Amino acid sequence: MKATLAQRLILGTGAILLLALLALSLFIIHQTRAQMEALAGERREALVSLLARSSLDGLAARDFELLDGLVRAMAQNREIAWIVIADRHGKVLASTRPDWIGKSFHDIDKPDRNGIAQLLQREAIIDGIPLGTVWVAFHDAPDPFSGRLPLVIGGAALLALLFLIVSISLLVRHLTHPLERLSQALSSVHLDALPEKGEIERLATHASLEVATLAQEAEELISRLREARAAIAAEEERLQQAVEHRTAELRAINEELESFSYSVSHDLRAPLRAIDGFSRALEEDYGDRMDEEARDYLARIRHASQRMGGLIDSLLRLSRLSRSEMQLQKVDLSAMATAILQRLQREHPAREVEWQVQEGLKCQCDPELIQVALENLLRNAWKYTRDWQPARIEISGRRRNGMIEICIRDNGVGFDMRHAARLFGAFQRLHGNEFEGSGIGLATVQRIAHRHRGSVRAEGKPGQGATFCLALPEAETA
Amino acid sequence: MPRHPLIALFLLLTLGFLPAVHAERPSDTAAPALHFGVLSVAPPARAVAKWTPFAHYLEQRLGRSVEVIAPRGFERLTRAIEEGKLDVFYINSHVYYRLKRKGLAKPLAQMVNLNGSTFSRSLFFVRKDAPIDELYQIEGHRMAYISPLGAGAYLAPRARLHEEGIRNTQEDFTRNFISTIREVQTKPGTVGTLCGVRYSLLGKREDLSNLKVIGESEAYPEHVLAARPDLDEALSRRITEIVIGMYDDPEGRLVLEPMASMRISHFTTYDPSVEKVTEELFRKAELDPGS
Repeated sequence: MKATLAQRLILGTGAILLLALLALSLFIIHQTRAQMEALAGERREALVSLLARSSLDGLAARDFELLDGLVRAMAQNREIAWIVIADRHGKVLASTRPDWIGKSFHDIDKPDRNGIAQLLQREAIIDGIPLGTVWVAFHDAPDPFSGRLPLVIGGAALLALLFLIVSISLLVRHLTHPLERLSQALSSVHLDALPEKGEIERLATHASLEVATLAQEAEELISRLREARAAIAAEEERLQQAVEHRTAELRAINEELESFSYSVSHDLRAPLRAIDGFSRALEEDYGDRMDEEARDYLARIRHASQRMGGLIDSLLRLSRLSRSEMQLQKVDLSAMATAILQRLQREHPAREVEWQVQEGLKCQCDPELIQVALENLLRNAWKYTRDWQPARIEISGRRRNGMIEICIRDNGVGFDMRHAARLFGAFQRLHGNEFEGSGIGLATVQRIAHRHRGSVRAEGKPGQGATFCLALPEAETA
Repeated sequence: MPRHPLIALFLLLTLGFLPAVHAERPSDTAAPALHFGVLSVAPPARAVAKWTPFAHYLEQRLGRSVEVIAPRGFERLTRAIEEGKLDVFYINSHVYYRLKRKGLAKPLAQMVNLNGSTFSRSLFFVRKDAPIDELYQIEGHRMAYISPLGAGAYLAPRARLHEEGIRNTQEDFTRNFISTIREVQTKPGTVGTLCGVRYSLLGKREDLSNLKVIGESEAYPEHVLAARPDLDEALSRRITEIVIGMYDDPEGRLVLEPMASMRISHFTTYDPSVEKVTEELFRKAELDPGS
């Protein structure tokens, strides 16, 4: 899930603030410690100098009361471990250690050196004349940052950080809220439900200049969308009207054409039947009085009229294909193809054809129309392998883009790919009268494929067989 | 050249040089330090600083360490002498007289001031605008003395006033010269007294133009270099010789020169007859030297 701008700003600023506060705290602690150490050093130096200066009169007067008073006063400072005031020969005259008084300072064994952080020595000098020496030993100064102070500083820094984060959060929320509202409004914009004019700009009324500008631009964009939608709607309406008009025209023309075609076909059948019937009557009644040539002419008349009848039947069937209502259902193509091939084998028991059908080929289609298409394709394969021994027909399929493509491959006569475009035209026959047929079969297959929103294609080489692939909607697996 | 004479010469030079070096360096182990006390109105440290060159000179000449001590006040000085913590001390004639009467001092030498005299006189001075021009007019006024143990700063002027019949004064003690000057400069009715030589010295570094001198005391003896009575006589004599001989010794002269700030020109043989002068001053001042 992506973070919002406000969340990123808050997190980013928080992280930067945390790092900055951390660095600042460390810097302050380091600087303060260094400064305190320097101040402590200066304070100690000042203390010792003051003691040396104050001891002058005591040393000069051998005023032990004065020297003792000085030592006692200085010893109030808890930093001080011990003090020694000695004459110029090093003889201790006053000290916080009474047992050292009267001894030479340099001969005294000072056992507690371990706890001493600093031992400062200063000569008590007046006008360049030394009257004595003072020594002051200082304890290790307590680290101000070793106790609760770091916790206090850390706590204060944390509180400051929280305060800053909360403040920044509120500020960021305040600044980004119009942007969020604008974003929500824009994300809900739909061509069918564009916001009212000025609605987007109103969302950024109290926002920053950038957000207001963005809202203004969005408003302009939406305004253009509104205009475009109006234009599209107008165009759609115009197109719809044009399509409806054209469709009506086409439907009328088609109906007229089909009606004409049907009428022509139907009306042509009657004279043809008359020609064929009278030719047969002529043959039966006067055949024995006709010479051989006359009978041959008569037979040709009959054959031509029968062939014309077949053509008219084919035209009528093609016409019916375009008009019939489709009943889509799940169809087992493998079973259908097997049944057709078995029937063909029964019709032509002398043919030796090796055929193979892939199991499980199914499509969502009209069974009657697909039966016609498959039968056309398989009869073609059967027909064009007539002179091949052994003849082979294979039916296989594969899924592609939500369609199932059924391919019928044979090892028959094949065709030249240069003429492939002509294959699916009505009454187109690439092999002339060498093979029987009306030339309407592949046109029928293509019409059926188109009615199923499918397609048909063909590949082949002369003398090396042909492959026809019919793409149909795949059957639902459920 | 044979070796033996060279070695002998080296040993002779080395051994002969050692005593000379030894004599020049004070040795703590050779003799105990000589404690030299100074009773001064100056702060002890300042007094010690001023007397240290003198002590070093003495050290070198005596061949023993000399420690300068500046006890605070007469009581401590007395106690230090009684306890044997001071051997030699430099004091004014007033203090010397008191110690002498207690049997705590014997004279070694006497200071000769910058005027070349073993006597000085105190000056009475007031502010120029003060309505006091003669000593008799001091009656009823405030006296700004330095210390009740002063000779020129108390004993001699008080004796003079008493001699003049002036007894009705308010006696205040300022503890040092400058304070006395300031008291007079800031309070028109106050009368200050200072040793005449000191007054001249102060005039070289202080603006005293707003003051006027209205009289002077009788002469009083200058400071005395004294010793505790039981100090070894030979040592006492030796110290006296050294101190009095300073003026004739170039090194001693060098030490004496900065001591001019203390009015000291040099030291001379003590004349016991000066004690009579002090005694007379005590009498006139109506002070008890044994108090």
